[in-house]
Amino acid sequence: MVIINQKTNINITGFGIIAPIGDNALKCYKSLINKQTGIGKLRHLQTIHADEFPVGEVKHSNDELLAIAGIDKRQYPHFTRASLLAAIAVKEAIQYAKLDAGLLKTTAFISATSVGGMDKTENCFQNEAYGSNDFIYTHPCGDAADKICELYGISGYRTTLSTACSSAANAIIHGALLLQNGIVDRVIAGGVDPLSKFTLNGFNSLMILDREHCRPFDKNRNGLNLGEGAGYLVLESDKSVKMHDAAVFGRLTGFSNTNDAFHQTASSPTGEGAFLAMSQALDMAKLEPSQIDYINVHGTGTQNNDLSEGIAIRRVFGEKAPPFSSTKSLTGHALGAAAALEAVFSVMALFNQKIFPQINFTEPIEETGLFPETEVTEKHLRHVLSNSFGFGGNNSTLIFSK
Amino acid sequence: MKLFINKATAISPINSWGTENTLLNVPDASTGYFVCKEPDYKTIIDKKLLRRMSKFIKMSVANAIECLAGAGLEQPDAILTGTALGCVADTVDFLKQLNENNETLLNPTAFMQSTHNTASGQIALLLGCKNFNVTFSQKNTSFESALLQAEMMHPGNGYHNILVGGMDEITPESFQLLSQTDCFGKNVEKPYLPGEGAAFFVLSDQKSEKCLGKLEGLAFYPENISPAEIEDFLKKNNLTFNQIGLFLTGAHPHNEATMGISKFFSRENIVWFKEFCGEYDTSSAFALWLALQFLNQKIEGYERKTAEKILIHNQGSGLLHSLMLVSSC
Repeated sequence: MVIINQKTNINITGFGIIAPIGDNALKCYKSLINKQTGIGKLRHLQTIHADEFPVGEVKHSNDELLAIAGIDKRQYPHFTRASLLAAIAVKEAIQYAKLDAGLLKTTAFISATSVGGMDKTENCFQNEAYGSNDFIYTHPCGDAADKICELYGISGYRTTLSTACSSAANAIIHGALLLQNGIVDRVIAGGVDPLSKFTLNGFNSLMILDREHCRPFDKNRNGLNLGEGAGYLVLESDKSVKMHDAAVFGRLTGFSNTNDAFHQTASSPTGEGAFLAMSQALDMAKLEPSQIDYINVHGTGTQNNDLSEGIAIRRVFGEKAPPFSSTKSLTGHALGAAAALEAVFSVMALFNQKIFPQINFTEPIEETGLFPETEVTEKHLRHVLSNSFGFGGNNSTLIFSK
Repeated sequence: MKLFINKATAISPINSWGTENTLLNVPDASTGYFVCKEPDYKTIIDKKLLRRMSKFIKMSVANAIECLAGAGLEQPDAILTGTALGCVADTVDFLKQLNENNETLLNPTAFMQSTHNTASGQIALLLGCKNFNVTFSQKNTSFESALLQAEMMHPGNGYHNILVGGMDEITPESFQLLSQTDCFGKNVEKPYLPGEGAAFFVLSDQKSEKCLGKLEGLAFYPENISPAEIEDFLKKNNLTFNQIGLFLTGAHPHNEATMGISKFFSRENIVWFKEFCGEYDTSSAFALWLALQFLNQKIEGYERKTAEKILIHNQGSGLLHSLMLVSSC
């Protein structure tokens, strides 16, 4: 299904990110082209599994994140790790887009998360030693959005999407719809998720965490590595771009959301939801499959996802699959923030005309025979497609264009 | 904005399920909070599936099935839900396991069912519905965000009938935790009791024969809402205060900040809807269902029985207030 009443282009005028591979967009870009992984041993999250599972952790304690964000703890004592990560990424996005206080006032803020303030909840829950119930206020998914709006003087509409690992893609879609319907002219949209014992143990209980560095799309892949981070895009209508003479880094030209309707946590063997998501996004962008120059795949490294996604890619693109890579091989899987990190990477790929490589790949999956890009490639990129899939059968695809 | 509400269902602390007319009275709260009067789910949901479902999922799935059946639809063109706290029981279950088993030998079921989109995913799974499917979680405007998403999708081709739901559950543990805070408005005299509920709607671009009402306006306000803002909202819909037959508000009668608004409506035209469903962040979905009951003269035991235009105001744990305008078909 295609939304046809497009009143405006969806212009990307800014982006901000903090990820295991860097505290800002430039640092992330350098890590991506130098194949420097952010995955390693846990340092900050307190868990008995620290030595067991490599993870993509943002390399700072919460106090260090406060300093990077420039937040005074006395003034804002209740920032969880999610709010801190979001504050840092949003600040960078605002700077790129040159949004002043007046523009921020009329900007909508659309966030996404799967567990929000869970890192604080799990430490305080049933633990009288902490003696504080602050976590009850910071637990809701919507907490970070309220905090960010307060911090940066964003006084309009805000909301948070929570559709597990596809959350941030749906936040970007909701933001795009706000522009297309003329409800607002400017949106900051993306997502955040912190590492938590809750998700680490959750994915461990499902037996889909790799004890080695994850190997997306490899025949011998054995699960995912968890990650964390925050990423946000500034999306503006044509009118808003003109109004403050904003630089446009790229455009969102296609998006879709479909449901696999197969299983609560597993993807279908036919990749039906993913197939529909990619097909519908292509329809909306009025593109032929052959016009996609690069795919930033969901590519978690689990047996199930990569096979299902690979089959869906073959169904959409046939024998001539475009170059693709899973940047999760460098960042880990940041769950509700993953689509936001990868949206920022997709925009950077377009802007710099480079395909980012993935690491840890040796042999392709037999059924699909797909080879990811393992070296940085300079290429004339016009259209980049990014996939994000999640629990609950959620499949979302975004297409970014020059 | 004009969305026809062709069907609405609710599971709530009052008798809202399976009866044509609603007897509006304050429900029993011997536990210190309002719990839903739940239907016999075995008559609605496959028994094999029921066993693993939490109250949150059961309430949502039952509502979705009944709502779609009532609207004569096999599948909606989109499934949009809003929940402030999501799957509380499953989340608490997994947190307890984490603590008690010291991060070992954990059962994955609670984790798998803990994501906020579990209910909308389960509805899709049950219906085999591959269409657009999202869940919003922005405190007391979670449900309203889902309504806004519906509004934005309707102008496009293909989106004719959208299933929208708002739901939150309360458990003994979450009640105990929330009671230790001022989440239930401890700073006001006689705060509302905590509550829970799930209400679902079929929103369509075409009016059906059974149309219950029209959603004509939806707006969000940061921090607070002033009488001038309400007046402006009404003006955009070519209305004035005295054309609003009923004002349903989630504010508290003793809360000074909202006293300003309520004095624009005569006492008998105000319904403090949280007296009937309790305090929870997606109670605005219950309020919308209640408004439709009023519009269609299906309320008993309450002095003011009907109205043609109803304004709903809600506030809660978040920083936004919301307004919804509903009118007769």
